[in-house]
Amino acid sequence: MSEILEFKCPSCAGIINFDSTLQKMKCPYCDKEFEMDTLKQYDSNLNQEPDEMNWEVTAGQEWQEDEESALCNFVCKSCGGELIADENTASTACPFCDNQIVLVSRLSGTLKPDFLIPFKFNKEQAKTGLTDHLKGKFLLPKVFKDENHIDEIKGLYVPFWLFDSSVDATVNYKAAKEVRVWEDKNNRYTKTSYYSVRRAGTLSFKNVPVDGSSKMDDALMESVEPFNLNEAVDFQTAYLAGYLTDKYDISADDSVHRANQRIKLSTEQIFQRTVNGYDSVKVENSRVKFFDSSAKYTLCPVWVLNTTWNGKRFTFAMNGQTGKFVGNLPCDMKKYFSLFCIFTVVITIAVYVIGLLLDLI
Amino acid sequence: MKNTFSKIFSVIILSILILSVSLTSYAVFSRYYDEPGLLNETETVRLLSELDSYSEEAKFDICIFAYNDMMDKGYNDIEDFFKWVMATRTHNYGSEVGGIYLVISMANRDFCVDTYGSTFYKFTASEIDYIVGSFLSYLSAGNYYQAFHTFASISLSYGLNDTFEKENFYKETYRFKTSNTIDVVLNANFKPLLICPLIGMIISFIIVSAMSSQLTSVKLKNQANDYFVKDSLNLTEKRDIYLYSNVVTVPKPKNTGSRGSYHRSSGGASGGSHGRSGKF
Repeated sequence: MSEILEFKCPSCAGIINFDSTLQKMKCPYCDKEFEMDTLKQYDSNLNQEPDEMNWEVTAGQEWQEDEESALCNFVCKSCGGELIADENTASTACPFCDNQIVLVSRLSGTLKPDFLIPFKFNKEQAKTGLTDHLKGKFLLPKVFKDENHIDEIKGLYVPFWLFDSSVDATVNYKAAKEVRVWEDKNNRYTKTSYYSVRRAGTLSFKNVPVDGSSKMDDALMESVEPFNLNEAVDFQTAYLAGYLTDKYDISADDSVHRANQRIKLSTEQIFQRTVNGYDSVKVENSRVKFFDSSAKYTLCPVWVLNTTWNGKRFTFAMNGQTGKFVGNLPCDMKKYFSLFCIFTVVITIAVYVIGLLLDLI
Repeated sequence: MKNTFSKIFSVIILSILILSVSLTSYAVFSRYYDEPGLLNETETVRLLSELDSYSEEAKFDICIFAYNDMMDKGYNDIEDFFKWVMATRTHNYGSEVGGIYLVISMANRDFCVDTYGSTFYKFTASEIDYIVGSFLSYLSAGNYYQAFHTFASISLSYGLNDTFEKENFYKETYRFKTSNTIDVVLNANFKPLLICPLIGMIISFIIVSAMSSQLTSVKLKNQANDYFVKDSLNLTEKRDIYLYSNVVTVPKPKNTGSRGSYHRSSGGASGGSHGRSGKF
């Protein structure tokens, strides 16, 4: 007479039964047997509390009256891009659509940034950055390199939310290790053991950036990371002179989701570094709880370069602090297929000759 | 009376012995031996006729010997078994110059093709490769008559010294008479020419893709490892629980494919030959 308890089989995920004869849990589907304590432990590991990712989002300070009056807020009538510039800016080109923009109103009602990272690279260095970026790329169309002229280079302060948080995390992994391989006349056997691995602890993240402008491509902005916040200074409007400034239009509350994703994944990866001695490890589930969390509103320097080729617009970005240059380039399909054919012929001959030499053909 | 009787008895015994030896030698000399019964009677007669006529035309023996199991004769290795077959079936019989032989052991689907005697010089290593490649697919598929016929006819074509004769033979036998010409040619000669370009294309694709990936530098960063505060990790729990074990069984390949496999022999009784053996 057997009694039934509801546990999931760690091997096949079927409902597993207690076999009173064996005094063990036994899976009726895959016939695996488990100790009761092991299964209870495993089951409790899987039943985690939900994540607690709460932020203290009080980033930014209220504008002082004199500072507010010194800045101008204007909207591009072409694309709707919202920009901030100092009071000396009368007109400029929209960094998003290249349209000439005339100042239409003064800034009001926005938060003042906590910090600002000043530009360390100038316009000429941004141009050099693009030239260097195009070097050594064989599949780049020659015409693009030769005829390429930069439509405009803009130094832009991009609004970023920087999130700091300590994390209390518990991560469960399923790990496997090959313990024995043997063979007989007909078959090869591989015995693999599976483990439930649990890691818990705390760790901290500082200045995780999330782009606060909906007009900037998130992938482009994350590609120019990282920024060194040790060199950040308290915000002063003077730093904005000569550069365009974008006002945030994604609030800190709306940005935390991206920060949560990145911090959670990193937590799982960092904990996984402590799981050693296995052939494969994968995350089964994880639970993170944030504490001492906060966000800062910061303006980060980015050079944005636009160019048009074959009717297609290419946007490049350079980190104005570190000089890191990114931007996707077009591929010359003629070169691609020519190179593919040449390599195919050469490698085919090489493989044939090697095959002959090794007596394989 | 007693003497006469014993003389008559001796003559009868001697006659029986001579007759049995003659019959045995006649049976052994057959260019086709089929212990497992691979061919029916009609096919056997047709194949024997082909083997005899081809052998006469080539002026060396083209023979096929099929056995149930070489283990019955105490052999594990098909090449050793081949030598035994040559010693027992061809000694003092057949053509003086030897020939080319296909020996089969059905139990483990082993085969060996090799020359014996001075015929060794008539076949190059690549020619024997071609012969094996031509009939192996038929042998693997159980189309024994077609396999044996292919073996015999191609052996004859290579055995002919004159290039013109060889060409004529190919034209007559394969281009017009055999419906599987393309199959035979592809199986035998051009497989490396298909595989090598395929390998070349795959490697080229990987190289060119790696080069084109240099053009893409914009992508989302899904983790925040750059912003992890160094030395801030404090592990409070570290536990590894054994769950279960699995044994995965993978059958070892018995046959290495429909066309079978073979390797070159290291010589031996066939006189430093370039024979081929393997599974089908």
